[in-house]
This record gives sequence, C-alpha cells and structure tokens, in this order.
Amino acid sequence: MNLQAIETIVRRLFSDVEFRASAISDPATALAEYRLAADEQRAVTKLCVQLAGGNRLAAGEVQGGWWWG
Amino acid sequence: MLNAASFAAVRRTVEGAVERAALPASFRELLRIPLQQHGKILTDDERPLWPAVVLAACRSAGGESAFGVTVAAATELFMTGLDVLDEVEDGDSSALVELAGPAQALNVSTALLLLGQQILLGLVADGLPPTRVALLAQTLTAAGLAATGGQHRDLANESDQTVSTDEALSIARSKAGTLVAGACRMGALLGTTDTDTLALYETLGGHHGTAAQLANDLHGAENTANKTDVERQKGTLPLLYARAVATGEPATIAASGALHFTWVILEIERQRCVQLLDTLAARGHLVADLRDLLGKVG
Repeated sequence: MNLQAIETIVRRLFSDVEFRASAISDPATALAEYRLAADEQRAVTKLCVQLAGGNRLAAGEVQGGWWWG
Repeated sequence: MLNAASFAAVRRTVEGAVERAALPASFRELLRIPLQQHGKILTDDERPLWPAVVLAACRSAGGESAFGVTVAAATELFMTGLDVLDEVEDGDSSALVELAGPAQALNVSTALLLLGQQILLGLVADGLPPTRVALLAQTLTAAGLAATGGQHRDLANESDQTVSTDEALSIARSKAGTLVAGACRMGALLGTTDTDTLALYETLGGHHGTAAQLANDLHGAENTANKTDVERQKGTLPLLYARAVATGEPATIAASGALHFTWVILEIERQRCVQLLDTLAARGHLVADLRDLLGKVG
C-alpha cells in the first residue's frame, strides 16, 4: 500500500482549496499524478465523494473486544 | 447463519473448561472476570467476536459445527488471555487488575492461554484427527507469537514521537491482523487442509483484523469523552498523522484530515476483504456470515 501517497493526497485535500474542489469534481484527473493502485484509487475516490457532501465520514459500527493496541 | 444457539454452546464449553480446570474456586472466579467484559463470551453480547470469526470461517469452509464450537471456545480463552496481558502491558483500565492487582492478572492470563490450548488438544478425544489438531494448535500458537512481536514494537515505540504512519499500520497488521488471521484459519481448518484455500482465509482474516483495529483507532481519536488514546498520545494511525500538523486537540485532529486518512486505509483493507470473500464464494464457500461480520467494521 502506498501510504505516503495517500497521506499526501489527504493533506492536500485538507489544506489546498483548489485541489479539493478539483478532486471532488473530477477525482480521476486530480489523482492521476499519484499513480495509485486500483483499490487505493477506489478508496480515495470514495472519500472525495463523501467530501462533496460535507466533511462527515460514513462509518459503520465499531465493535470492541478485539485485542486492541 | 450464526445464531444464539451456537454462541450458547461456546459459552457452555468455556464455562465447563473453567469449572473442570481443578483450580481453586477463588481463582476460577478471577478467570471469569475478563471473560465477562464487553464483547466476550460470558456477557449478554449477542455475538462475541472471536467465536464469531471462528464459527463463520468453519461454516464457510464446510467444517463440522460441533468442532467449530470447541475451537471457538479455545480461541476465545486464548485471546482473552492475550487481552489481559495487553491491559497490564499498556497500563489500560482493567476490571481484573483493579480487583486483584497485576500479579494475579498475569497469573489469570497464563491460565487462560493454557486452558485454550488444553481444550484444543482435547479434540483428539472428540474424534478429530490428531494431525488436524496439531495444525490447529500450531496456528493458534503462531498467531499469538507473531502478535507478541507486534506488541514489542508497539511498546518500544511508546515514547517515540517520530514513529511513522507506515510503522503504525505495520504494527496494527502484526497485532490485530495476525490474530484475526489465525482465528479465521483455525475455523477454516475444520473444513479443509488445502494450502491455497487456507492461505485465502488467513489473508482475509489479516485484512479484517487490520480494518477492525483501524476502526477502533478512528473511534479512539474521534470520541475523546470515553477513550484515552488522545490523552495518552497513543501511536495510532490517526493520531500520528495529526501530530505532524496539529496540536493534538480533538478539534484539530478532525480538521487535519487524520480521521479521513484513517478511513481511506480502513476502506482499502475492507475492499481487500470483499475481494477475498468473492474469491471464496466463487469456489463454493458459504461466506455469508463472514460478509456479515465485515459489514460491522468501519
């Protein structure tokens, strides 16, 4: 997983208004320079779609009981 | 589908193991305390998680449910033992430590680990081939051992403010990911010994466990009222991300994109699970229960 690229993208989304706007309107073009793997591209695109509707994340239920760190 | 009867059977197996352990009554009472915590088998929780993973994988791979119950019980005892160790090592709040102190808690964890192994080995007398039982014991032991390596890294990094997000993710994989991988493989071993198939279940469990850990870390960073991750500056993925740009205050954690970053990584892990489930389904495995468990994460 290219964690550094994903981190860079998210930091830009939260600090660069123009980049955020272009990523929301056309994620494929905005993200092209980062050469993400298919699953990374899908996940970041999904984030961009969520950001279009505001900053709130769509998260599922979180269950405890695992060996949490 | 996993149902209340399955979990009731696991509960009876765990209770029976504790009762038959020929240990002092006062010690047996202490053993029950961690098993009565949220998400564990001796509570009213509908689907305690470790038994759920084992039973779902067993059903998926076509294993016999009676053996699934025993393996689920063994896994629950073993993982609860690791939970107790983790609480002591991390200095986390613990009902057991508060009641009985760290020395007793460590002794309880030892007993739980050994009880889990004892139940597993008892499967030979129940009719499971000894070679299969050996594989189950080997899987559980290997998962636990690998997780101690991850815990070592986590503890070693505790006061290190320069830990990278890569390292945090790697640790999550080597702890929660490894343990769920082991539990998934154990359930599947009751239905198959095919190497490729078992590798799929193990990989699935790895991604599922990592996703669940990330969801928990996201929750810890987001909900400061009930969690101490922020207070204790824990080295979780969202908090490490946020530290680079923010003061660590809750409002700035959210504003930095830390939660969204973690969500993206969680989503990637979840997608990988979905792909593996689709591969298993295409091979005729009954993955509905495993999909349902994944649906509860993130």
